Amino acid sequence: MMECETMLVELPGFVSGKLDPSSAAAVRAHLQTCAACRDELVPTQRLDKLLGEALPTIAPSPGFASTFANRLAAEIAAEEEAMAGGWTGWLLQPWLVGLAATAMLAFIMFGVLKSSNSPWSFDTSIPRIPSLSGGVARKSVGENPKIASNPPEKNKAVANNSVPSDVLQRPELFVDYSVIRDLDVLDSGMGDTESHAG
Amino acid sequence: MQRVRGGDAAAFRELFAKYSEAVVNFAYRFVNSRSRAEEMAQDAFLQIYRARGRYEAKARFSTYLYRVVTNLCLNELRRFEYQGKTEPLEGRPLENGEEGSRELADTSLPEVEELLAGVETGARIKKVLDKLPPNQKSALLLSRVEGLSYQEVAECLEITESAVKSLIFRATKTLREELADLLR
Repeated sequence: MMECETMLVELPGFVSGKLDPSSAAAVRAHLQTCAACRDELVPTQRLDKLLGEALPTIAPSPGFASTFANRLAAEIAAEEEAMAGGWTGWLLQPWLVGLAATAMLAFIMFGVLKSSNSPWSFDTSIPRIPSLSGGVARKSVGENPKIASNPPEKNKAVANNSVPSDVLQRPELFVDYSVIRDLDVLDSGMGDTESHAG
Repeated sequence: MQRVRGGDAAAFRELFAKYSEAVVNFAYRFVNSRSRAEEMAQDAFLQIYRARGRYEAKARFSTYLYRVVTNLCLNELRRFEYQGKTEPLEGRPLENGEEGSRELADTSLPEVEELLAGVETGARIKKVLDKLPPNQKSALLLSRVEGLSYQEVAECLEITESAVKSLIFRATKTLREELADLLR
């Protein structure tokens, strides 16, 4: 048997015909036995009628339909334009353009960094110590005119990484190796020492 | 709506012609402005048109439509304070012994006054409705005024049927208390 509290919740739906058959039957059965709930029925029915008949309604303004027709036409036109763009339109999407620009920039930077001539090169196999060969050679030439200045091909040898590796590990000894060899040739006694120091 | 999915814009215009006035009235009961109600009705239909590719005919189109409209109305209420603000009424309440008559309304007035006898009753009902919490008002209007079943109201509001019954019961209780003199 339905309780009064439950029945009162079901009553608006019962009055407006919204209840399913089994719920409506339960409410009907309860109303037959409960006078207090029956007293609630009539006001609920009157309210239901008021809501259906007395609630204000309005009619749309005269331009309502035409305004919507224009908005719908604009929407359809915009969709058709987007579809007509096809792949071109798809490719020109802002996010895709940005992504392509970023990828291109990254590629360029990678190329620059990878380049052997770049001061920011990642190539660590040869330490880039400024060559002293030019200065030392010229000084040597001044002190001993017999010592020829390093020919360009020897400077190139240094630049091209033909300096012995033990010299490379000791930057304090980094002099033009080709000059030391020249001294060895000129004075074999001092040349041994200098060659050892070199 | 299936035809609309297939690209039939004329079919969509038919749906608009069939349901738009009811949608305008439904929105009007939330925002109390005809112009804003019309805008919201158009927004709802455009939203449905844009989403036509995802439409699935699981329920009646009206259920789907009112779900979109209800969400728009509830969002509008959250953004602005509409409660209690009704458009001003012209005319005065009938005094004792005075016979009522329907007068032609001033064109500057809301059309509610042109359309209904018992303007005062309708205005009182609207005033009480405006005081209801949005979810109670939505449930009551969808069920009693727009004619949706409890199951459809539940789909619109994304709640259970039991919750719908509870909302309508509370709304009805408030209306009965506020309009007790009209219900004797």
